[in-house]
Amino acid sequence: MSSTLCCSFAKNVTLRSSDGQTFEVEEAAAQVSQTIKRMIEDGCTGSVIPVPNLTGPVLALVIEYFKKHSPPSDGCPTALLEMEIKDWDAKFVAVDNDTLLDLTLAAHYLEIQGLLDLTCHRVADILNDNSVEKIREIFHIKNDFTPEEEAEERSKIQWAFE
Amino acid sequence: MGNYFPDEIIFEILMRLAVKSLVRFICVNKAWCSIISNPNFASAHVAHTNRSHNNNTDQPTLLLAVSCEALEYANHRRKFTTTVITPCLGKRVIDGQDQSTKSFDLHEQLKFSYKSLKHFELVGSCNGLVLIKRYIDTLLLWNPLLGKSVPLPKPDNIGYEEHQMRSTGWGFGFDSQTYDYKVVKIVLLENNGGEKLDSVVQVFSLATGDWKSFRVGAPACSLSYRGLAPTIGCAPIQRLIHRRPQPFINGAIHWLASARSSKPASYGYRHLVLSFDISNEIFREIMLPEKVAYLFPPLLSISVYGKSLAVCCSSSDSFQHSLWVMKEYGEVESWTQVLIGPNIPKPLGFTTGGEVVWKTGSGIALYDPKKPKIMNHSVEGRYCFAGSYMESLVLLDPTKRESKKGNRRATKQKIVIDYLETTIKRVIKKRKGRI
Repeated sequence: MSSTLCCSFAKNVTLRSSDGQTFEVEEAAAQVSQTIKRMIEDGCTGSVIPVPNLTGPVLALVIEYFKKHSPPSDGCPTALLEMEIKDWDAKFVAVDNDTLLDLTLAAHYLEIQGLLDLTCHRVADILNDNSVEKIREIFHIKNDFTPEEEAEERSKIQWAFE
Repeated sequence: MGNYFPDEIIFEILMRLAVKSLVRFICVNKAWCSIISNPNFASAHVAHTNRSHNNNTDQPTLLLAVSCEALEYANHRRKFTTTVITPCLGKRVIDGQDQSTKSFDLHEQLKFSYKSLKHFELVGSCNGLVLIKRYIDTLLLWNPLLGKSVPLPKPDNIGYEEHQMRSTGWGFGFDSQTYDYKVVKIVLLENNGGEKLDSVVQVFSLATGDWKSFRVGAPACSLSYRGLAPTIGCAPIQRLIHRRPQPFINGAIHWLASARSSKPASYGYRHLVLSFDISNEIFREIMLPEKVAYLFPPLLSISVYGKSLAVCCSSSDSFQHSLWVMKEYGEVESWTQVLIGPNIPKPLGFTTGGEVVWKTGSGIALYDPKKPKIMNHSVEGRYCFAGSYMESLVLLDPTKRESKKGNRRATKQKIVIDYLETTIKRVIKKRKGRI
């Protein structure tokens, strides 16, 4: 069970990144992550919650996201607020490719569906206009086709390269 | 950033890509090739596209059909003209500077193995697939974007007496309960009294590759206007009507049908929409609004407007059309007349975004009553049909299903494929749970 202390102010939790940095964040905000929510429900609030898959800078960004997306204390979000969050989201993912992929992984590990949708959508937008070579570079993928195999695959789908 | 990227995230990203990009990315590496070519991935991609289009209904691609007259020789070297219909895809190219002058990028037309496109009908279109019928029952399932097609077997001849009056309808759709594409052929058998009757339903499943036939009760109505022939007195009517694909919406195929009516001045018929639910295999009658239910039948056509079932009524004066939309599917009270503006010629069709498409002197035009603004596209051709087209990967590898048994791939690769299939199935299951 969680602490029975009466609190007139919001309760905080401490998150620790893989490189040992700690961040304090409101418990309600951190529960945007299903993973953290489960840990809090399991009674991990007393101590520091480890987030071993995320480095400090990425965790700091995720906490920004938590703060923006924590449920409003006064009930339903208004249409205006939703618009504002949408704009904020668009700016939030307008980052370099490596940071974007780190955020995508973070959303996956921490089970933050909204962030996963947002980052995957942004990644897809970037990929849509790119070449096969660029995709391999972005994802650090090794081409395991032989040149003959690749030429054969390409010849079957020539139209997709036009 | 590390080199490891879980398959589940790759999958989430790939789901959001355009079909053309996905086809290109087959060449990224063998793992991507396996995911993208997997029929389960195609299904998941379709489901995702459908969901995201709930928020954004504007699909950039249109399915179009061009018609032209061709001369044909009958047995006695007597010439007559016949209509050749050529389907094609058109992609809108949006000009950021001036929104009103968009151009149209015509996709290559279908390369048929058929010698000619005569006696040809677009039966239906769903999830990127188009079903084409030639002559009486030669069927071809086609993904025009991928340029892939498969011939389908003909339905068996089934038992009804030749002299029995009957009308036939064809349709195509997706069974979301079994994740299967289905072709439906219905034969409504009529009796003299015009009371309700029997029907023979034949359903082809793409997953099994087989037709099954069964008899099921159907409302007393007819899909042809043969019974009306004395009143109408012209033969080509049926051809005109069947050129448009049958609307597939809410898991059911829809046909315009007619039932006998004793109402005075009604040509002896009342029109209705006959629907066939392809998952539950049941017929349903959907009444049309009173104002259009008794009109001269060739003036009516049914289609999908936005996400709703709609009936379009043309008047003999070619510049007056009314469109009735069923706002709540199946609720007869919800038929609502939508104004599509004055001076708009007979529509070629409608888009899922709620636009009206018609033929102009130099191409086609689209009009969105909500905006309202007319977009002109210059494209050559005498169009006879236009509708929204959803791009999909379905049929990317038409041999996949059949080749399963005789698969001689190396065991290692087979394991990779099995693994990917399991991953895809798991992710699909997980996604379903969230909806």
